[in-house]
Amino acid sequence: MAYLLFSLSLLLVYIGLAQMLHVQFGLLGIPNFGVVGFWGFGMYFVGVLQVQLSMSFVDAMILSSVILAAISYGLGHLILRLERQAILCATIAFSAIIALLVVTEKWATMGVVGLGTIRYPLRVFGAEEVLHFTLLLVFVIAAQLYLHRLHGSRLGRLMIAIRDNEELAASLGKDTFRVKLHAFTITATIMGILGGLSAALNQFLTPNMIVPSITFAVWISLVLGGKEHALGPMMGVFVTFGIFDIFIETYAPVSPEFAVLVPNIKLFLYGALLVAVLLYRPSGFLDKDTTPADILGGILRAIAATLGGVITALSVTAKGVETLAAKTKKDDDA
Amino acid sequence: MKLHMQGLSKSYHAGHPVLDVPEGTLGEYGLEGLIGPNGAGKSTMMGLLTRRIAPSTGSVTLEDGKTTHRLNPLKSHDVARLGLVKTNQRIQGFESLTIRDSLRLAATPFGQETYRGVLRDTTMDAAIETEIDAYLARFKFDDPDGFAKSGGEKKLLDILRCMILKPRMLLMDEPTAGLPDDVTQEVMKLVGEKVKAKEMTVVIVEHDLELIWKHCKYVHFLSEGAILFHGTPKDVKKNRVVAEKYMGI
Amino acid sequence: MWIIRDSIFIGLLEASPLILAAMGFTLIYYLNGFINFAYGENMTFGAYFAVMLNVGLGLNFYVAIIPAALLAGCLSVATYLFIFRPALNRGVKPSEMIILSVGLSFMLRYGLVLFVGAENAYLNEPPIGFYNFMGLGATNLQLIALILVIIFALNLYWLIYKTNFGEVIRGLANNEDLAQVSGINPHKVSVRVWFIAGVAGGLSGIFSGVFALANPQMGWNLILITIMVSIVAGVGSVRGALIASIVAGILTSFITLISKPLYAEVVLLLAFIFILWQRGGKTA
Repeated sequence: MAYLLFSLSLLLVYIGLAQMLHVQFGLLGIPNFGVVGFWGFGMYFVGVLQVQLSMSFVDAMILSSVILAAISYGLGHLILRLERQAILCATIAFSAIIALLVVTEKWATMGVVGLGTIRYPLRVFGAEEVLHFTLLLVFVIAAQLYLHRLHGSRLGRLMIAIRDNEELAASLGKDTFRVKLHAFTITATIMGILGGLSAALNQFLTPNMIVPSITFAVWISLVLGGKEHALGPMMGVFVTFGIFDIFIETYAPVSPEFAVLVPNIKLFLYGALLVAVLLYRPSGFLDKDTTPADILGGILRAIAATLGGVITALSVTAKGVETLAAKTKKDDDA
Repeated sequence: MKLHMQGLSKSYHAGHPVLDVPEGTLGEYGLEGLIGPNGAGKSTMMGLLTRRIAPSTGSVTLEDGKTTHRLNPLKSHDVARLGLVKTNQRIQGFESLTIRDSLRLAATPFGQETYRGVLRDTTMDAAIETEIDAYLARFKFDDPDGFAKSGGEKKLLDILRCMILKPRMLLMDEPTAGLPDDVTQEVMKLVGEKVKAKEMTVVIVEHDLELIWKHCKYVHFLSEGAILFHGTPKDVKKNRVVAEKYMGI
Repeated sequence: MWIIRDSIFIGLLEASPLILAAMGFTLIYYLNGFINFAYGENMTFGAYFAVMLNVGLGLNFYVAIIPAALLAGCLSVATYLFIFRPALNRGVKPSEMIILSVGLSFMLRYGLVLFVGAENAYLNEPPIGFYNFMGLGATNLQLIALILVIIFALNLYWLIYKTNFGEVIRGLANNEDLAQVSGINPHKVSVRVWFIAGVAGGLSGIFSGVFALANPQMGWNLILITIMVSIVAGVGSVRGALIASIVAGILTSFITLISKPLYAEVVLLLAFIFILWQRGGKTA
């Protein structure tokens, strides 16, 4: 039960990250491939301030957000005028630098030894996990409601126009760079706040948490769910994280030998899924005109299809592993 | 509104300017034409004037009544907000915005798209809607609530987007290319009304000389990157240089 | 002075895989106009093919290099034929092609992990000898790698700039329809380009494997710098890629010698942004 609550909280964090990426890429066309850098910065900064300097969670979060906002603003200033491919490289490089910093700056982060213990922000004995989950839930719901309004607002319309044709938008008197810069700063900072909340969730931080596959998982969720639809991020995370990290790890009868393979199979299938989506349905499950009724049908179909695929894959591989295990045992006996 | 060019030039390879105008003024006569053969530098000049292209040398100043603005330090969106707007020669558009939304985008003054506004405002504003309705009543689209489909619709939408910005000076880069004749007539009529009411000055770049002779009070002739001649349509028609270099006589 | 001499020397040695990768990557980038992240896995697979032939089948290290590189070329062609060409034909936009290639990159990488495990693999190298070279030490393998890289790079350079083939690629990249009219078979040329790029990537991976070890993540670790070098070099400039990768290699070793590897990454990122700014600064 505690583990399920942890997984569900992590699911919310992923939804939050995908929501922010939806604004950056889905609405504005900024290909931020350094999601894990912003998230990881928030996570480690809050962790370091709390553990090394005994700051309170709230103070640590505020300080971390202010600094990350300044960094994102500066980075945005440098890169948002460049072409998209260059933005993509620069953001990956940014996240690589953050990951490197965490390993090398041992005096603060404890390096590979790990940093802990980070306390929950809301401390009521026995209910911390539930409260933290609730906090994340409120956060994600608020973001979702805001996204829905954004899609029908002047700002949303302007963002879409910038994504479609920035030069034309500028010729209509829109300061497109400023819009991009502000949106990038705000969403990147929120990614850091989600990182701070993840610090409390994880309690103990190690550098191997800051890996490119997190960026990738957020991207696949967004592209799979539908990058231009307000519900796309949530939908995508349910299908990817929900099935692989929650359903399989919690409920699927996976033998221990096989369990170590699951993360790799997951990333392999994520990759395959992403390729398939871009080839056969580039808009993702939800394209920009999808209605709620379509969504319900789509969710059911998607879950059924993915589950079917996963169960088949699992049973085949599990059988293979069993045979292998039996064979190894026989060899051992012999 | 008037535009002054001073020593304005643009070269992509040193020593080979695609445009070189020591001195020039546009917009003194209300409705002006800019003609010249292909590759004369007309579109380059338009791009330089709206700050879409940075000049190699020289400056552009915009004179609006008593105030003058130096355009050199400005970005293209600043220029648009000063009231200098250009329609596009090649078809440009926002593929995810409907015709109506595209016009709403243009009609909404920059700065009204705020984060706090997301929580209360809607995309609509009564005054803007009325204005858009008036334009859509005058210029017919197949489905104004859908997307611009044909090249002609996209071109018309581009022009209307500029008109709805209420520019003080409008540069039109080959507005008739791709437009059906009746729509061209209607656009020129609208432009004529606005010029007559002194709401804006207009410079039209065109290959359709009949249109130029018919509507323009003053014509500039551009060839090989330089303004070789300017004057009334009558003078320009008679000019030998223009005849040799352009009309192939 | 010794710092400059050392960093040029070490930089050249360490940059040799990067030189190959950047030249190969640039070819694809130029021809098809999108950034191919799966090129990183092309390098990884090159290294693993070499491990397979060298350790698995017991081939001599030098003998194993050639078939391994050819296999990497075949892999590259396969990704083109089965993934990228169908996507291009379906009209997937360049920005989406990048995401597609990231997907393929993860698929190949974790597919490999499922087969060979995430552990490091080592090449069965010939005995190592140290050579003194102007007071600097280098192993025989490093020197051989450098020589092979120079030979390959010169060949590629010659192919692109001195033969008809380079002309054909340029024609195809600029205007496919026109090229087709003038009798070029775009399909054949593309397959050849992807093959050559794949071989270059495979060799690059093998030499990276020589200096350190083969690991499923190695391609991902190399691809970012490869892409940055290619973008800085300018679209389609194999010559630029050659120069930029050498400069990047020397710069990295210089900064690493005087401070920490971290700063090398930061400086490279800033240099990347600065160069693109300079280039973009010409327009308003």
